[in-house]
Amino acid sequence: MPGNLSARSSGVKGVTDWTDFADYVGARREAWVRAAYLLVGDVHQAEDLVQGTLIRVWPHWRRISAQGDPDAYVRKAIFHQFASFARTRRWRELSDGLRPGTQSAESDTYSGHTARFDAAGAVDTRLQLRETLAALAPRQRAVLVLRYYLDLSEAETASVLGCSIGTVKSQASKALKHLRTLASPGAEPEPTDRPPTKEVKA
Amino acid sequence: MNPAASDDWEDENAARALLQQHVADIHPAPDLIDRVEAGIRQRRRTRRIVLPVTMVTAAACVVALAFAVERTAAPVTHVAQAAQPVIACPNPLPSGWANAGVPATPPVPGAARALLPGVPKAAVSCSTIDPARATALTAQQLSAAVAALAAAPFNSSTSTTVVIPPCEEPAQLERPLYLIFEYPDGTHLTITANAETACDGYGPVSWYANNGQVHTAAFQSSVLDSLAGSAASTASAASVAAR
Repeated sequence: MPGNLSARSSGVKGVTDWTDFADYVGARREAWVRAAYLLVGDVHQAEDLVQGTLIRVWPHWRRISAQGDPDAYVRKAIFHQFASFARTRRWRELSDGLRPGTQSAESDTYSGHTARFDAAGAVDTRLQLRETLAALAPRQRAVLVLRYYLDLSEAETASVLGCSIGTVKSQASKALKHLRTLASPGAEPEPTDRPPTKEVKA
Repeated sequence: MNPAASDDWEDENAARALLQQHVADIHPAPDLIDRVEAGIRQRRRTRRIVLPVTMVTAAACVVALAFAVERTAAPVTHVAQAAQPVIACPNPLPSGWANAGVPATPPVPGAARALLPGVPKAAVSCSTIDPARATALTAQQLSAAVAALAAAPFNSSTSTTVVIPPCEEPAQLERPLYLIFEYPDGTHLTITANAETACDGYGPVSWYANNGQVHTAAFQSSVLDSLAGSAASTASAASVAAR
């Protein structure tokens, strides 16, 4: 917690800056980790994503906080970090592992959070949603999170992702159609833009 | 209301509810800020090490690049002499003695050169030599060349070519052997030996001045014998250099 932080850790910036930063992290960490979880589908990976982003944000904190809207900067940084992560092999492994029919998709990677699911139905829905999200292309997933979890407008979403509003609309529409299969299980899921991954033969 | 729009609206609301529900039980580790702090420290430490190393490496690359450019752009002295092969000598002279790769053909402009051990750099600027025979012939040919230099009427305004027959098994000398000597004042001496040259023990030696005059002299075996050793050649070369 912020109280544990030493003045030394604040580096070249003042203790006030660090306290301010730590307070911000303390207040917003849950929101950011949850958003990151929706992006990557794994709690630990989500925490790593947020942690890595905040480490990169800190050197610019004075300027960011002076501008009065640190959320906008951190949000953009998280999604950029996610875009970088989505190009790595680790992402492919993680994403493939969460897709339907794989062993890790059947088990829960929430680890310490498993005990909190007391209702079997909730767990089923959660697994389904996670598989559904895993089947989405990274950009569709990002649009989904920005538009319907963080409640950004289409213009704001386009600004964060660095794409056009039209792209946001089309990606959101595709993602929603895919999500609709959760509400009506009999329906065939819509094809996504996600490229098929190669099967590795044993 | 447009039914399609209504569907979209319901989809969006359903998506919002689903996503909120999906993460409702996600609680980040309480030590996130400590991990961020540790990460910042680690990043600072890494930068403290990586940055100077990167800068030093970059500086070294710049220096090496500048040196390479300078070497590439260095003027090459083309020494053209009448009735002589045209030799390109490096300027400045390379240091040390090393076979730097030798062409199979007689010296041409830009041909690779090999410096021969045992002769002061001031006396020899560059030479090309048959690599297959270099080891066996170097000392003796060099001695002969030095002897020729010592015996020749030296005129600093002229260059002299001395043709020396190979002194052992000439048939094995498949390619001509050239030794090019450069005096400190810029004049050159080229010594040529090839398989066609008569080799009957220590045969006669001719040397040609680049003014067209032909000088012929009998190189006495005893002279060559006395100069065959590297010590003698070095001494003679030193005396030539002193001239």
